[in-house]
Amino acid sequence: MNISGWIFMTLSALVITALTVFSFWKILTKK
Amino acid sequence: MTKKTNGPEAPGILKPKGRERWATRMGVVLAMAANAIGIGNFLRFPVQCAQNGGGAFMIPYFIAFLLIGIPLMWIEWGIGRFGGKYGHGTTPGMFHYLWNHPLAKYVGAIGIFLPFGILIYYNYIVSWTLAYSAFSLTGKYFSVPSHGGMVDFLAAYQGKIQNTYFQDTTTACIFLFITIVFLTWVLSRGVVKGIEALSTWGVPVTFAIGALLVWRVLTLGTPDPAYPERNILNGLGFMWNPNFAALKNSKVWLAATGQIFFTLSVGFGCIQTYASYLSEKDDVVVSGLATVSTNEFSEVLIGGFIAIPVTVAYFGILETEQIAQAGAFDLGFCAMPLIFQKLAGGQIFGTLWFFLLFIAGILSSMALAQPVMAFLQDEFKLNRKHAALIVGGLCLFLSVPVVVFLKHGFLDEMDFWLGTFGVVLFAVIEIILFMWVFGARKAWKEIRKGADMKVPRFFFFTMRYVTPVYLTVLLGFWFAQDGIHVLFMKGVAAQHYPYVWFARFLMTALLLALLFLVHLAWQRKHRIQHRLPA
Repeated sequence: MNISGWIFMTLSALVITALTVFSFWKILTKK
Repeated sequence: MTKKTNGPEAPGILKPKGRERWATRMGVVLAMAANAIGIGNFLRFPVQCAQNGGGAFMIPYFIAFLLIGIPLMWIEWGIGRFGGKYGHGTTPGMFHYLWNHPLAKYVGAIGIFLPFGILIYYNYIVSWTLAYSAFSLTGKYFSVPSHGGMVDFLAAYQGKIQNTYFQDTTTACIFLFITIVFLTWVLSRGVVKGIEALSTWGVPVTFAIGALLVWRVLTLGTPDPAYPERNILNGLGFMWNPNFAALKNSKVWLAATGQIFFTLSVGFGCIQTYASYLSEKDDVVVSGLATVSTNEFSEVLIGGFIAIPVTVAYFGILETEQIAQAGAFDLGFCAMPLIFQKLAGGQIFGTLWFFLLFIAGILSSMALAQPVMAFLQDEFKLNRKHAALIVGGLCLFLSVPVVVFLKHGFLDEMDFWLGTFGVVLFAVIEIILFMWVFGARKAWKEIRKGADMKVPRFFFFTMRYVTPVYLTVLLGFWFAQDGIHVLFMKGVAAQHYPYVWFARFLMTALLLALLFLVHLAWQRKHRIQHRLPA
């Protein structure tokens, strides 16, 4: 895998993980 | 519950007495995610990504996610919660309140027709995954030596040919029967004890099995030292190395948009039904976002790391390209079983892989069945056990031609008109009704009601202008590219014509029957409203 492949894979994973963590954090921390 | 709305006051208003509500917020998010996570997450996405520019595919994919996926998800949650407060769990009742016109309820009938029509053949596909899970456990296909042999194994199972493994479709019918009986049982338990309970364990189990398989794939290294180039890193490269030239091709953009659309299960009428079991003050914004992100997590971070990388590691890039071109089913049902034969602990991992697909599929089947369930319960006051028996019985009866005529293209014909063209058309209709007929400001207010986060104003303009235009362009391209060919049966052998026409007849009859039922339901409401004798 080349460096661009690593970048695209990592960025995709980061964006989706961030969105998932953010939305579930909002749900779980709602008073 | 007789609050003034945009729609007509009579005869639709009935207090939503006895309607179920989701027990927990996490339960509704997991049920919605279970609806979205399907077989396509693990088979269709990796094939689409590898065939359409690798990592570069993620650029149009994320753009479509932002401009179509998230807006449509919020719109459907909003329409569903809006309809639920008037006791309607399906789009005929919801559209009745969005559009003050006698035709509205009949247009809404499409939102029951599509999921039920898709359910008829989707159950059959789900049953294949259950069958292959059992075949993995028993090692039934472990003596099939080649890719061609696995293609024949699947064809014989489906009744297309006969061989030493299968003489007819008896085995396929048994697994279909088990699938439909299980589905009927879950539906008969209701929204909380059935759908919510199954989703609450089903989605985590899907993730756990998926994580285990990803770990197994990523630790494979180079399975055959005789072929050092066949390794997992090259497999990941095949999947993720970006080919920016592909972005100049409009087909890549269409493929990415189509993938976002199908993976989120928008345009089916199912999300509206699930959202109708929310209370009026429940948030739809953060919950909708959690649904899409859970689906994306399973698709990109699990689906993207199993099937394609492992196929490259065992077969090399050239053969993987051929397998990917043959489609998602070839990858899942013909290539993967061969890999399990070579993998240490392959029987266990094969069982888990197909069971993962089965859970993902049956949870989606549940969502596809719920609109017609809700319609029978809300509009005809059937209890859920009777409604489940009717839906299960109809699924069994109507799946007969799907099984028997599979080799004649019966399933493919239904899938194009319902599962490809119909869902995009319905999405265009609902977005126009909600954002233009009901009114953009009222729709925006409806979505933001009870929201746990501020929705960026960007989405107001996106929902109003960008999403409907984007979807209409997609629909136009598809119709020009594939629709005309399918409509005039180009490339279909003459001996298959009667079966293709039979599929069209069945779909038309189903739609007419639902339109008649909608008519009856509204007559019934009218009689109740005015206390007229039956």
